[in-house]
Amino acid sequence: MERILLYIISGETRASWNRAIDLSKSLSATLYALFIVDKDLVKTVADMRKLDEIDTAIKVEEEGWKYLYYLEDMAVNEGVRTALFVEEGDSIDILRKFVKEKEIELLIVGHRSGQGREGRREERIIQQLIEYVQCPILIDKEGGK
Amino acid sequence: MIEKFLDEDLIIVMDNVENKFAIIEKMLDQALRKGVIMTREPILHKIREREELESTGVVEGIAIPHARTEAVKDLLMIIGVIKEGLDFNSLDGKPVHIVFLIVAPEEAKSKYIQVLARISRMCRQEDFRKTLLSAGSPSEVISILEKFDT
Repeated sequence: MERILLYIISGETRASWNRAIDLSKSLSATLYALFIVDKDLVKTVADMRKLDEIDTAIKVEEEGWKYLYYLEDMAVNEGVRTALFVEEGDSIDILRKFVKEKEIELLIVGHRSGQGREGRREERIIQQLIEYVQCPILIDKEGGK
Repeated sequence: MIEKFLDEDLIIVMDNVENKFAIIEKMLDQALRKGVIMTREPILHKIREREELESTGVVEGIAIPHARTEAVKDLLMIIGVIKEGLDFNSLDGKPVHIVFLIVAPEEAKSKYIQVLARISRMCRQEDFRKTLLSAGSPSEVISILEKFDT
């Protein structure tokens, strides 16, 4: 296996980051890490908090880059090749295209179950991933036994 | 946030550079001359190690080589402008015109990541890239960075 994709759905799923690094290392695969500035999420957050949509998108994107660089720092210490990406738009559309274009062989996504609005959003995205993304998917349940 | 790391003397314009490591060497030489670093070899080694693992070229003509090393006392940012562009093994395969070299000590991880995130986010803005690529002098580069650093 040469190309593993870690979809960083939020900063709360860091156990999956370790899993992705370990797996990439043991398989000598390149770890692609993707954060998506989801336009619906940005709109929801901006509406809820009465913030400007552009400012909200900027904050979300910068947070995403921080997650990516944290991940990269961890991966580099383990000697894992990494490539970081931030995209903007609809999460599922972007993931479908990304997996196809980069010929991703395994998609890893962390998942916290049932933690409020965010947890429900993640569950919805994961359901859609299973349905629409054409590659094997490893769902890493945070705190799962 | 990044304005405190900007220094006109650490912005250099280069022509006819052979390869990406030659650029990084020139940038570190400038920091040596300025007395910001005492030695360049350990930094160069860290950057090479990182670049050999994966190119840190971002997109659309901008690269952000970076590393953490005890060879620096505080976060250091050196900006290189390559007017003619150079192959940096970027992810998108396009030649690089602007290089942000960012080096920080091990203990400054949080600051280092914040600066990398800010620069990366700014670099995805088309407006920013276009304006920065048209800058004619180090002071202009600083003004543009300050303007977009919000």
